[in-house]
Amino acid sequence: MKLINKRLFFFPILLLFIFFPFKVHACDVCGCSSGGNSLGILPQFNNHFVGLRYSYKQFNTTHPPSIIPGIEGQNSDEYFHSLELWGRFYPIKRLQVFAFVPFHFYQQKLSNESIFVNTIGDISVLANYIFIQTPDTGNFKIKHNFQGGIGIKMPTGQFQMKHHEELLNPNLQPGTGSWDILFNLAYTLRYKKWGMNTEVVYRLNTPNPEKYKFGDKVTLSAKGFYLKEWNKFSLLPSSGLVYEYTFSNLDKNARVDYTGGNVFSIHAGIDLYWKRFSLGLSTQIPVWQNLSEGYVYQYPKANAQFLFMF
Amino acid sequence: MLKKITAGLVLIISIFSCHHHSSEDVNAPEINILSPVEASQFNNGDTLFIKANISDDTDLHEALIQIKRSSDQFIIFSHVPEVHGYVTYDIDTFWIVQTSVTQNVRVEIITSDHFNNIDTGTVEVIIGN
Repeated sequence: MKLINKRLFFFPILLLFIFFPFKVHACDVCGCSSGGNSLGILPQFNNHFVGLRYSYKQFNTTHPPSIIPGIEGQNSDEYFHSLELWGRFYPIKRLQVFAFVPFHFYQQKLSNESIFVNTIGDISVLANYIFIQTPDTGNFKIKHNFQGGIGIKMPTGQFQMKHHEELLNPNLQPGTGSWDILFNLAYTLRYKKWGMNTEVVYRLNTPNPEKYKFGDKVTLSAKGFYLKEWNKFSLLPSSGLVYEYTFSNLDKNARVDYTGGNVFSIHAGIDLYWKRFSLGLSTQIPVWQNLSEGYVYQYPKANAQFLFMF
Repeated sequence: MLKKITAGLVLIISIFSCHHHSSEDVNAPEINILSPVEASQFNNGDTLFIKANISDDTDLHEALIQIKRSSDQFIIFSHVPEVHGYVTYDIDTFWIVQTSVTQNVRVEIITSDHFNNIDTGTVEVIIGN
């Protein structure tokens, strides 16, 4: 048992090292593409749930060098609001199936006009197997939960939306047009009321019918949390670090300039549990970033989620 | 159990490790100007049709059409067609000659792809009279 515990303690560190990308590339100019279906800190008891989660991202983009006079250096603001219907189901013990149905509300504010995109995005399904889970019964001081899985993102969102007969920037498209594979590994360690959650999410993208391939995306996170319980409800404040790395986009297998990048953020959040309901709020504040070779600046992200467990 | 986890990690890593093969696009877009024809003449009030086909092996990023006075590069006409994201695009625009002073002008089409490859096509014509 001691040996297993020792090994499990090193899992978070092992995961970070294995997936940490060593080569630094520089996201298509104008914000960033959708996220990697990170799960975050979730209740680990064997409940199904359905819920809604909302995410908000804002970027400021400076136009890179252009052949059109006056364009270079122009600024635009991109606002990415996403509302996602999602759920978790246990078809059999130890196997979790997640489904994500996103609706996107994007806005790009240019100097003379705004572009709006309001539509459904790409639907994803993810199956996670729980490799290790400390039983609820018994007197275990340290509890572990280690799970991993694979998923698929389907091209249900539009990827060739136009504005004034011109194709929108790939990052403003609600879908990627491609079938993508999602990998997820998550480890949660709890000692009494304290805990730690480490997660690695990798989105392996494939080219869409136009042979445009969004760069793969890796999200690494390590969060600490504390569980405060009262009679009828519980609070779970958390804080931690999140690193997101996006590879450059490829157009017909050629690397697209000013795409890709990475962001290192600090996370702060709080989750409230009451009966069968849960409400969570969190933010990610970038402390270091290099997106689109410096032409894109990401502001703090905000997330909110509501769950109904059954 | 640990064997299963290790096998899973090895599988994932091996998938990732053989994945990122890309190349740099060094081929500039191509411009084929159909109209006007080199050295053709347009009188005051004539319509100078600018027709061209531009294409790229990946995607076009931007294009700019200008008519410049040959003597001092003064820009008489400028138009930005919305070519973004297209592999081929047919330019079809026009400018009405508004001078009676005979002079040489340069019809210039510049286009770029998403890899900063730029191509320029020019035709010199005579306007005025």
